[in-house]
Amino acid sequence: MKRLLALAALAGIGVAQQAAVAAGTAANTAINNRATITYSVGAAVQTPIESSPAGNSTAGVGNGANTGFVVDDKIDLTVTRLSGAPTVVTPGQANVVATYRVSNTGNAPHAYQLASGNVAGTVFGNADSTDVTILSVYVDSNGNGTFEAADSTANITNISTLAADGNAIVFIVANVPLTATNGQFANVRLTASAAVNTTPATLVVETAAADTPAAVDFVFADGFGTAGEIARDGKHSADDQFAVQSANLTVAKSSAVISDPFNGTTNPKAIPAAVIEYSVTVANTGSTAATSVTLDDPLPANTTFQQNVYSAGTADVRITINAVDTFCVAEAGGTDTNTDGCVRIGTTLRVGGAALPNLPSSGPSSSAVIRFRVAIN
Amino acid sequence: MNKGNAVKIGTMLLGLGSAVALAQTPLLASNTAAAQQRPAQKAGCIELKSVAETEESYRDANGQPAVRLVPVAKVVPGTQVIWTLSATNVCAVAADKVFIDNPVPAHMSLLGDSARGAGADVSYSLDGKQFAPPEQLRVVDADGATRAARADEYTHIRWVFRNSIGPGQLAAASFRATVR
Repeated sequence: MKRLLALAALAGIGVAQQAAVAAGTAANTAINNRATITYSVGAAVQTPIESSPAGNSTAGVGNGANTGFVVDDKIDLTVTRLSGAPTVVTPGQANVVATYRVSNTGNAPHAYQLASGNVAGTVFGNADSTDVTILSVYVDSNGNGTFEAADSTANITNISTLAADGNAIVFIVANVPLTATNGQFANVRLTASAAVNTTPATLVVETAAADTPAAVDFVFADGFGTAGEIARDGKHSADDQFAVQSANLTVAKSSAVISDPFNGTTNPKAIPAAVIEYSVTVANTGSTAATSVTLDDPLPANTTFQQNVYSAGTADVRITINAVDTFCVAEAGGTDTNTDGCVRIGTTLRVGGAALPNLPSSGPSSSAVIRFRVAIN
Repeated sequence: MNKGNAVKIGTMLLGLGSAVALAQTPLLASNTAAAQQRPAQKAGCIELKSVAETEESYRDANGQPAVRLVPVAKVVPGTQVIWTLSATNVCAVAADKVFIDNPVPAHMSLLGDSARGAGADVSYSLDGKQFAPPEQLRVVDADGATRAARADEYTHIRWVFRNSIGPGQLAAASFRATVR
């Protein structure tokens, strides 16, 4: 007995049933069954009898009939976002991309209609607070997972066919309005709806009536992808998120009396001919570095800009970033002849260009203190 | 689709008697001409019926949730199908040493411990030739290790009825399998 079983084991594994695809047996596959009964009457072994759906008593191989049915079309799909975090965008940025994968987890090829939209709710733990301007949905035309000009040129906006177990990459492409502000989040949703294979315009309708054993019926088996969407509706969806980040500059200005003609630098008072020092603090409290920062400060009326008051009498403006001083000369007449970034245009002091580096969004270098002096007339 | 699903008659290995060579005329699959040439059909003593059903949830007369079997409904991968075999003795004499062989249908996985048959001993096979209880069925993995075969690896089921089926009596067997 045991010897036979060992042989059975070795022989049996070799003829294991054919492997099915992960999504399962393909639609329209016939599944049949036919049993055989063997018996004896007295000592005489009788000819075996095969089964049939209605019952068969005619002995002999081939006299029975299969009991069977065909596998129905399981409509199942998933939409997943590929990003694990919000996609950082800036106000006014064009062609920002949310990337999704649409997978056919059913057992037959299908087409898929794609739809996109701004949605409320919370994604990645961040509540939606602004909208983007959605331009279009594009299917990745070359399958490399990256949105490129070729994808918008190809302009494939629905999936015409996905084999069972197949998947496609889909992009939502949008513009970020200039009015978006730092710290806002914009949620977008991609919804795919199962359609007749190669005919995305025609959605699949679930077979409502009773099963037809010999024909393929449509059975929705999808789950729900996002809140509000229902399971078994032939659709699936997923949300992705854009995080708006920008520099956010604050400007604070203070003044101090440096000297007056009578008290000198000891408890000076703001009397005519007294020297006042203004300190303007520019700080970036945003989320990205501020570049090309330029400060324009109209000089107060009834004052006179003081030259050569810093750096041993060689500079007009003192700029302090992270406790490091730099200096510049603010030429009168509107032309920054030495291109150090400081100039006076009429009665306005401009500090920028070479005088002000990029201000990062955090750390000690995120703020700059700009000092200059005037005398009261 | 798969006429190969039709059952081969194996010799019995479970001690129900010596192996018997059965005089069989091989049948050419689904060939009408062959069918016409077939010798006069021989009426057997047992009518064997195979039925495929699925479970349906419903509420009974008291409003309680219940499950009943209905003719096979919409079937997709993962659906569980209950196959029921009914053997009725249509002769005036008892049928002895009765056994039913049933291949697990292609594209289906047998559900473990789902084969039922009142008064029958159930055994399984990995090749349709040699049958044994589950604990004695072993397979060799790719790495050469031997392990117990899983129910979804069984290819055939056999019910051996301990008692004779008398005239007019019914013997039933069933199993459950899921669509792969």
